[in-house]
Amino acid sequence: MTTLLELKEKMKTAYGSYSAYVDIVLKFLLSCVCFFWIRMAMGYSSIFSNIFILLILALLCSVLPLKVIPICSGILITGQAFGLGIDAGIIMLVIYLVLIIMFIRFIPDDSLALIFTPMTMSFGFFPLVPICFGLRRKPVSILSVISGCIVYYQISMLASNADQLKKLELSEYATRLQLILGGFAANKEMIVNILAFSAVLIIVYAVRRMSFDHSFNVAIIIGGVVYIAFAVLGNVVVGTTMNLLVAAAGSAAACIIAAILQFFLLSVDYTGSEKMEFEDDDYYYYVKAIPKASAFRMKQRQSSKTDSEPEDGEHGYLPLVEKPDVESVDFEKKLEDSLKNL
Amino acid sequence: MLADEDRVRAMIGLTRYENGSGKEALRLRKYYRTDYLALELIKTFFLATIAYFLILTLLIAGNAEYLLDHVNSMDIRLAGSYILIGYIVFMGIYLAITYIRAIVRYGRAKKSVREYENKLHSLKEASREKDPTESLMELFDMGKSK
Repeated sequence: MTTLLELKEKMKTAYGSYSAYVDIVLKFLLSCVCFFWIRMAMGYSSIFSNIFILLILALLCSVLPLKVIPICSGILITGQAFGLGIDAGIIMLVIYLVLIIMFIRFIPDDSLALIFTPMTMSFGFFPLVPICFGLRRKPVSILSVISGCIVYYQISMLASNADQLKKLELSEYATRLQLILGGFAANKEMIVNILAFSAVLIIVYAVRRMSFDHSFNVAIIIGGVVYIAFAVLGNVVVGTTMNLLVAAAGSAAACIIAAILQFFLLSVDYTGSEKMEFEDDDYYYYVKAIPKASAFRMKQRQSSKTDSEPEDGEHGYLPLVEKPDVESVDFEKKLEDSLKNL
Repeated sequence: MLADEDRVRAMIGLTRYENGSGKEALRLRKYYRTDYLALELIKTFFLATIAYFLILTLLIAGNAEYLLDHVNSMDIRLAGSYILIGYIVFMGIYLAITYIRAIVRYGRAKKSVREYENKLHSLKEASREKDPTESLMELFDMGKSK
């Protein structure tokens, strides 16, 4: 633990010294991951799959604000959909417009979920984004997670019907539209996942706000368990065909990733927590203060543990400081001296 | 020396507020409450109308095959009334959410701007106390301008 905390502190110090460069590199890597995932998951358009175009776009994103990454990702996803035909592109554009108008408009700061949710879902870490948003954000972030979930299922639908769409002529628009959108709104798995994500986010948020020790870690575990419970319920009650083994493994992996992220963003030392009560003219205050975990504190505690073990004939207390001999001091003389100096 | 440090700290805090979390709050406080609410509701009305018709387009596109097969046997009036009722319900819910959100945001902005103004006022007072010659100079300048 101490080694990890030391590593964290070193990373923090390094980040503090080179934050301007580190931010650029991190944003570049993040954009690369998002854009190359879109290329891997869709890859219908040669222009939007071009590696040089993606790298240039990632370079641009590295110097622009973080909100630009979901915008560029949206453009790339829509562009890839246009590769399957003008109808698929327009429908993807309309879906994005509806999501932006209805949801993202209210929570522009959470727009990253629009790309992270489908990406983590495709890697199998289904509840990762709802758990992380529950730990760090507010319940209203549900809107952005739901939007990301809808985008994932539209991408999946396009991917599963891509071969048929490529074979069909544009003039067969009724069949094409059926393939692009048919049954999208009634997709049971999507609805179960939307409900599960909403429940996970709210429960994680509620638990992590509770004042018991290790509430953050407990919230992460509960989030993972709730998602698995929803997957089981979906299969049993609604008749979805979700792979429970994948859901369980994905939830466990999501919990581990969320715990690692949580450690680097906020780690506290519950052993040093204190409960205080005080009052002013208007209120009573019941405060629980938990110190931040640091390598120094851990080392100090370890050394105090070893030092406090009593030796022969000695107690583990600190040595008493000898009191100065107050009576032998001539205060009158000292006062006269200081007045002379004045 | 310490007073100067405190003043600099307070100034940094205020500048951070102006450029960060307080930017939106300071913008909101330029409006009267009723004006802000009306503006948000009008904006939402147009956006919700666009969103509703886009969703309707998606639904029609998704069921295009079925609709083309049954277009002759369909009761257009009934379908139209369903669309209208759906629009009214959708708009009602959306406007209600927007109204509540706008009230909450305006209230929060008001509170945070009040705190900001109090801090700004105390900073001004501290500056005057620190340097009485400045206030004398101000008085002198005022006298000159008269």
